[in-house]
Amino acid sequence: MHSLERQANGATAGIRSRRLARLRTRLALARSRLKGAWQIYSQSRLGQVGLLLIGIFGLLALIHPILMETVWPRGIYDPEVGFDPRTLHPALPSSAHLLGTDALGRDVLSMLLAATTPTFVLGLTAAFTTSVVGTLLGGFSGYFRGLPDAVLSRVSDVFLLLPAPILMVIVGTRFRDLGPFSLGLIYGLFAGAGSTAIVLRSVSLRIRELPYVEASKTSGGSAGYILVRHVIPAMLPMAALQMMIAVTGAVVADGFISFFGFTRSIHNWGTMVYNALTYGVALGAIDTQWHALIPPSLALSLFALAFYLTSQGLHRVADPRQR
Amino acid sequence: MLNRGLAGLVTLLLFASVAFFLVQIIVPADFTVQFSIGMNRAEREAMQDELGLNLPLWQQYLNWMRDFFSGKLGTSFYGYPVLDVLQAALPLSLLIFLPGTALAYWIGMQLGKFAGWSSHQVRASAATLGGLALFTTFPPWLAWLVAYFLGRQLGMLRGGFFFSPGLDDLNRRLWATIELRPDQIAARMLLTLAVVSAILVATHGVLRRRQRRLPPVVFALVLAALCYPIWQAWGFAPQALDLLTLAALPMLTYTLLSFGETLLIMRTGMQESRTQEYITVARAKGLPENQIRDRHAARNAILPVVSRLIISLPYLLTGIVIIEDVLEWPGLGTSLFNSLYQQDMPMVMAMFLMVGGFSLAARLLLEALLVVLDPRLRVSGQAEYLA
Repeated sequence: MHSLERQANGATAGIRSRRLARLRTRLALARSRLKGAWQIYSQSRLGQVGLLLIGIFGLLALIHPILMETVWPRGIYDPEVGFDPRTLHPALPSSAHLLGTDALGRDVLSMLLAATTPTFVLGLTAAFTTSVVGTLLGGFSGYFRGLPDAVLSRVSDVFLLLPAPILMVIVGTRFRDLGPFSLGLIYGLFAGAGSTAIVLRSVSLRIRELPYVEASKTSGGSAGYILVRHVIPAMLPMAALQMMIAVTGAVVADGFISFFGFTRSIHNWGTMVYNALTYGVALGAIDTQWHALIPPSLALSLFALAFYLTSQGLHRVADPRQR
Repeated sequence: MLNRGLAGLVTLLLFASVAFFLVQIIVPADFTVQFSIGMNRAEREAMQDELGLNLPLWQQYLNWMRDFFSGKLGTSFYGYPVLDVLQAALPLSLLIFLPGTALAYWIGMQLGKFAGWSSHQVRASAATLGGLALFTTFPPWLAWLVAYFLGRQLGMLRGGFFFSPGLDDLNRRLWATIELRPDQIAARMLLTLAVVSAILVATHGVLRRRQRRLPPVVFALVLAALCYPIWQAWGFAPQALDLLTLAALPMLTYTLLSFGETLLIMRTGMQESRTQEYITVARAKGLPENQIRDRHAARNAILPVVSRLIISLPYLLTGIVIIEDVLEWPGLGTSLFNSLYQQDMPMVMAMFLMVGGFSLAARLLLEALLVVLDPRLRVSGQAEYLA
């Protein structure tokens, strides 16, 4: 009895250690795969520039709260209600206000930095939602073909007919107080069910014909198992690429909404562009507002560019024909 | 093809339903609310009755679908027929969209061709970076840049951004002499352009069979040389030119915004084909370099461009909607936003369907074009969409 128990214990320990070993192998495999992917990625100079830009924007996002706590007095530099009584507004760039102040007397640099974090939140939410929705829908309909594919493809077609940015503007007219998180979620749902699902479906269609999927099928792998273990992992590089494209789309779309005045978010580059233009026109001198107009426009464009460049690097990883 | 058409119809039906319920969700209350200050309850209910707003939602939906499929788009809540508004807005939008898209794709393909083929690193990267920058730029900002520098500072283009709303900039004296409205003239212009282009494309096909080609420059020149006399004979040539100079600003902005993606895809395709064996064969045959580039490499690199266009069509449409609104060009986009502000349900629905139906038609057309371009698809019948 005693020995039997010990034997059983030994067996479970054996199983556990074997599981651990398997996990370790899998981790090592994943690491080497990541390393290989990075090697391919780093061959793309554009991709590296994209990562660098994202890093810079990350730093900008981090630096703002630190500056607010240390160097910048809150009353003057607050991105929402700051006002500098020492100068006339809008003020041109000076040593006190590196990018000048806008027509309401707020520091442009502070507003610019304050908008970085919400933009990241929006972009990353949109990216995550897009890729999850797109991978699930695309993988499912590409793998199963037949009726589910027909239904899901029609659904994707419908979402493709209605572009996500326009939809976001329309949703914005109804729910004006949407934050970056919910806007990202909405964009992700629409873009993910539309173009991303279509692109990923064609990837999944290609993967399901590959020999290893066939092998898994003949050795009795269930559909769910094959999907989770084989098809979806193989779709991941393309999904990552779509993620980056989604960030670009979402950020520009959010810019539209703010530009048309459909959100009340204050820390937003689109809102800054809108304000600079409207105050510029209202004051009859758009020429003197350039310091309030150019930085947010450039920031928005560069932010979108950064993620698009990253997608160019990932494209090489995702699509062997690109190498 | 028939299959695709049927699938398209199903999509349109689904799209109409989704659009209907979406609009229902979006519109915060019924239309009559905004007038409720000036009305008593009975008057408001009478108005609701008249507009069919007090029916249950499913009945409104069925009514709307029945009207839609029997070709009735109904009247706007403000009393004018929806069809009239569409008729006024659509030609003006297409006047920007069709030539703009053609131009953007042509420029993108040419630049991409050279960027992908040339071994001159600096020039190639400059073209790529330029394309990337234009593709990811914030559209209102680009529109402003174009309007400000080309329009205001250099005085090359008329109209635009916040400066002059709509078609107010048209030469009044010129338009006083004619009964047609700008949108009617735009429609006639589009018609002549389409007919003349069709004739030219047919000529091109005949010439190709005889191993001759029609260079794009000649194509454009002949197009202009044929269209202008037709407009003159029709009696609106000066007005058409006036409209075109005003359309130049949105068209240019739209083209700049749209060609980047084509450039990038074309460049990748060209780079890919440089190492292919058929290129080596063409070289070994002693073909001149530009023939290898244009006839052998570029022909294959075009395929992903067209299949990508199918995916990015909605984004092009978004671009045109945004540009119209920013530059205050009175096309579909502006009407869509105006009706949204006014919560004019039938108008919003009609605009939605216009955009949806248009992109569906364009998609079917592009899929057919892809089959023409790529003989492999005639066998497999499945286009592969890649990012």
